[in-house]
Amino acid sequence: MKLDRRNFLKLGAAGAPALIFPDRLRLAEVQRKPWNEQSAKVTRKHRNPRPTACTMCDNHCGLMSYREGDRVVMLLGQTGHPVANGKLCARAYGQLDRLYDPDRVLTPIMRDGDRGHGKWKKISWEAAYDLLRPRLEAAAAKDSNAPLAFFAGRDELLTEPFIGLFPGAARIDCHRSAVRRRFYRQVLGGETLRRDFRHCRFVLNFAADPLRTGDAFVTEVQALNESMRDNAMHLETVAGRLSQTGGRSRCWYPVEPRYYGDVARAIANIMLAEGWYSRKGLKDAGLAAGSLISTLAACDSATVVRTAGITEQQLRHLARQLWHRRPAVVIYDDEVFQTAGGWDDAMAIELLNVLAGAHDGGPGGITVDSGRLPGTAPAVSAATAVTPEWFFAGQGGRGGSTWTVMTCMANPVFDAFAGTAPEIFFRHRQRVDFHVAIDTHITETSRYADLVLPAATELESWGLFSRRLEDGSTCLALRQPVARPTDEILLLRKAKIKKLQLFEPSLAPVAESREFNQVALDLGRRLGRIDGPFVHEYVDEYLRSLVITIPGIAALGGLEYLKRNGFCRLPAATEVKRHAVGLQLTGGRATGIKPLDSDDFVLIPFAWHVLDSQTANCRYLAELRHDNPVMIHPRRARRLGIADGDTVQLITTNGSVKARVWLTETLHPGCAAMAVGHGHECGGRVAEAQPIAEHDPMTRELVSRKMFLFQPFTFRLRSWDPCEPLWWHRQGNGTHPNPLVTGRKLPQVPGVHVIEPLVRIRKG
Amino acid sequence: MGQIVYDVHYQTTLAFLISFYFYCTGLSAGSFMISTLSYGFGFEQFKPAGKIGVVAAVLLLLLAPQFLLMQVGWPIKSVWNHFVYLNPVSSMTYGAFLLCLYPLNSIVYGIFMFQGNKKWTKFFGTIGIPLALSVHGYTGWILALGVARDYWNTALMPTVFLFSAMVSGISMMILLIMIRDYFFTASREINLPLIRTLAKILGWLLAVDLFLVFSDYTVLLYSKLEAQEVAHFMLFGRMSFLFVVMENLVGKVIPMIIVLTPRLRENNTILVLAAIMNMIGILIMRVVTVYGGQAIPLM
Amino acid sequence: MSTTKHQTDGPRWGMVIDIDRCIGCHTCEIACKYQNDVPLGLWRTWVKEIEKGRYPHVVRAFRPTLCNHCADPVCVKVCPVKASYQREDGIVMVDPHRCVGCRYCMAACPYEVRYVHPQKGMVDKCDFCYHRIEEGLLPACVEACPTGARIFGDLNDPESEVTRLRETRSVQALKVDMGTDPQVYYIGLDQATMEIKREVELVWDK
Repeated sequence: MKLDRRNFLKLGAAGAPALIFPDRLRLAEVQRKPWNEQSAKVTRKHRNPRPTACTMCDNHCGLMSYREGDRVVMLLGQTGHPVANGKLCARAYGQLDRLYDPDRVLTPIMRDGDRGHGKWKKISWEAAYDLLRPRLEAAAAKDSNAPLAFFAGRDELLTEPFIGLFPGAARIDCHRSAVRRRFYRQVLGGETLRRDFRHCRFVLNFAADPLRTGDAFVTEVQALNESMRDNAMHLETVAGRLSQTGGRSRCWYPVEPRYYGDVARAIANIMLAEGWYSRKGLKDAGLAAGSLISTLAACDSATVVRTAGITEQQLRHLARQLWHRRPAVVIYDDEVFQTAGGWDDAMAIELLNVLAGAHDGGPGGITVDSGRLPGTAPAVSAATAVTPEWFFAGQGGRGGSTWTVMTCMANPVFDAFAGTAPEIFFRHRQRVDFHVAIDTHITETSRYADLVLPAATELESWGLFSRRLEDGSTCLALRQPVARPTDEILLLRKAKIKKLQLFEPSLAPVAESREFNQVALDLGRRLGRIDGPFVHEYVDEYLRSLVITIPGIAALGGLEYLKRNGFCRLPAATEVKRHAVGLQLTGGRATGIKPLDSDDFVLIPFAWHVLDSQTANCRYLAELRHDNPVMIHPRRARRLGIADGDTVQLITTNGSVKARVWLTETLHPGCAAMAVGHGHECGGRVAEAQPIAEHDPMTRELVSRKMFLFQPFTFRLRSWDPCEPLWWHRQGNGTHPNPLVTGRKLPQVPGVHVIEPLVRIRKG
Repeated sequence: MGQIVYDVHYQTTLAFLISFYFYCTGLSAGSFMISTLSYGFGFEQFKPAGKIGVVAAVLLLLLAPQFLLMQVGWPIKSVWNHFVYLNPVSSMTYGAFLLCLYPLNSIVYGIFMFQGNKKWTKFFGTIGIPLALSVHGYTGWILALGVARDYWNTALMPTVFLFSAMVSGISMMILLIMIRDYFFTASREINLPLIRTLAKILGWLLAVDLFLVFSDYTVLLYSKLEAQEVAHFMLFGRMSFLFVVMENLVGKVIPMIIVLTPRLRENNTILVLAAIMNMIGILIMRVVTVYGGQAIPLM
Repeated sequence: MSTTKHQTDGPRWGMVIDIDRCIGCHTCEIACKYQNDVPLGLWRTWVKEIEKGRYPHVVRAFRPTLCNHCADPVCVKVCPVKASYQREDGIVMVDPHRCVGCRYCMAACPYEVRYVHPQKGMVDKCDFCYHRIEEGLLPACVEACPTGARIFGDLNDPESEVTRLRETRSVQALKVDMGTDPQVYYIGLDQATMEIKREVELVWDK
């Protein structure tokens, strides 16, 4: 049988119902359609399916896009996909709004006036490249006095090769997880951790929230849920804020974030003293029990019980569970890294994994996913990778020199927790020689740019991702443009059939945007490089050449197969290389932490699962979470005379913001929690919570005259007003806690800064 | 102990327009009944109220459905669909017929009255009484059959609506007769015996109305959870000013005291004041009933 | 448990929601909005989320809410133009050609699941994604749920997962005292999700 798309889908349809659709559908008279196909609700028009990969997180779930005519109308999961079997998260659905966002930048625009004044003029791509070339040529020179500072929002195929063109460049990862990822790279030797929750019997959670946010949301959610039900897995949480995961845990031990490490050390102490530890794990990590005991001696349980507010029994219980309910895993997230001792604390928490034997390679343990394509060598980049906090704390200067700045789908002014430093950096001419932003919107960062290049969204770009599956095999997922028929683009490139452009689908929003990979290829060629990826003119050609180097795909049909299928499953490598764990433990600061004053709080910046810098302008996602009140425990609030709904001022040494108070019992009384990702000043009307006019394409519908006449009497009297598409615009879009937090140096690790958010809360 | 982390809003189902519709229908039904007292039942002392009553009834009843049509999403389609696709188990279906028959009957009745044809006036007046009762009883009935809302879903609702219709109708008649007699007659002489009789009737009807409200609320307060919630909300919550003070104290109790006290009743100014207070009170009662029923979230 | 009033030979669609599996990710909500083009500010399905208890013994409870496709739907009874109707397979639908937007069904529905579409001026509600069911697909919310908390199927089929769950697990339905015989069943529903209600909003509150 020829394995074309239709047959493949039929095969999927035959196999998938057993998993997903156990019910007998008694619809004999209705002709069943193949699994992944569907038609429009009202018109019953056929919808063209095209597989792609979701890039909202590292999981790379399979997406199926459905196109009606020119327009992608729906995204669904790809049933039978090995990663999440066609299940998606809210963000994956919501990214469709990015594609047809009326607020997108559609053509290259150039600053026409002072920086940040919002005056732009349209230019052509060629003119934009001509502007860029001399600057990039200068930056590519050795000992350039305006080297490249590359702010990367997400990793693309050509990010590393492109930065490799510029010796002396600095790569700044603009993501909340940048410090954590650096920790993974440095300590565990990989990009992402894959935790085998399905075989776990105990999970100890240090302030992580895999049920709400996570590197592999859908997969981990499924595994955790199933394991809790079928495997009697126990999930217990040590956290300052009761997250979604904490709410599902068997037990929540409220601990102020500054004591996470000490709690972990105390547990480790108990495990070592009782002999509850994996000898193999300890040996592999190059640690000795004796020296560990003396290192951790300061954090004995008596001290931790006194300071951290956890009881001796609870510590012993956790230690016992970690050992006796093996396989056990300890998980932690960005929240751990946000305190001054975060890096050391994470080491101590990782030590628990070593002691519990999670690194020993058995089922229910941790594996490290490098994320590299099979058969490819790790790219070596000359750039120094740093976090934005570090970059801005040093104010980006090397002895007063300037930078040529490129921000690629990154919004460091908004996302970096470095107070006002990023804004000052981007606004002032003397630090930034030239700033080019590649972005879909005019964001807080790109508004200071000299040149803004319209980026394509995830649904219009190419990409190839590799992901380790639970059985050890590798899933290769292809991201391909789905916004318009790919074949048409290929045809249009040929000059001979240029007249075909007459028939180009009129996709107005997509306009002249180009994906970063294409821009990188264009720029590389213009810089005179015709080696490596830069021999190719187009991204898919490069991708084709890349795919044939991966063993096992050529037999299936190469890139064409991936385009039809969306993913391919490569067999497990015979030998899985074990990762080395390089822990450097410190004694902790059990007694060195200053107790809180009466109106001091430890601020916990957390993230809702739906809003990150990419999805801020997605209307349905913003509707879900459009406000971020500051959460305070009622006990503390009573003492400060604060009632629910009051406006308070949050003050640090760095600055202050105002926010509404939400009293909640789900918080350690010493903490105040606030969501990040709200309070945009730029980035589209939904992100800014500006009302959208009734005739806006975003609402897709016109308000009829009749309704307009009568609505004043029926609807408009209410605070939420369905007639105005953005019903929350009067409530605002929340507050951004950026002014509060300031980067602090981590002496142990050059290039890593963390935040120490101690805030003072006052009424008014 | 607990609080909501995430919940959605819900549209207000019935709005101000429905309150106005109820109010106009009530006024119409009340004034029609006063009109038929003399022409239909032969109480001769009410004869001067007959013609003005029927004119007010017809005009208000032509106005009332306009509010209704503005409330529905598709006004013209709604008129058509109500008759074409009628659903016999829906109370609103009968409303559509009543809202057509009752004004027609009132107009015919009025025409005969103005022609002086006593026989046919009496005939159509007698038909008109049950129609007037049902056209307003039906508005209460609609709310009562909105089964989801405990505040509405009571068998007393049609009766409460009838009585409030009659009190507001009588108050309006008192005002209209006084205005007509004072401004539009040559003698400028107000028909005081008629006014005082109407006032006395108003007083007793108000007493019955207040008893019905009392009885409704005592049941609500002892009934199931949601009924208790809504009763507390109306009596002590954010609706209490409108409900307790404006509707019941200003709109019903004070006018009742005025009209049942002979000394106060003799004073025309105070009587006018009482009638106006009562009319405002009943308007507020319509608003309070429509919104109070929907105030407590169901889910 | 269910009445046999609408028992036919064909399927009777129903849903069982296993709240023990629900994590409150709101994916069903978003998927429904995209599938059915629901305007902002209105919902066909949503997940009510509450927290209950006192520090440090606090838990979160969820209640995914949608139209219950009652066996004895009060909205169908009260509709004056027969625009609300129930199909053979139990799905309660609104006929857009008949609906005049009088909202009486909204007033009568005990579950607050109906809304007036602001642009169309007529009532709209969850229809179990009937267009998908007819093509042999699952409703969008069911297909979206990453944890499989929503289980959809034929309640007339003794072999189906929903029937098995309804008969073997302790399930409850919402507001059974209304006599509507709802056909969406919950496993592990927390009573507090019904008792803790949002604040009263009055029309004249800005």
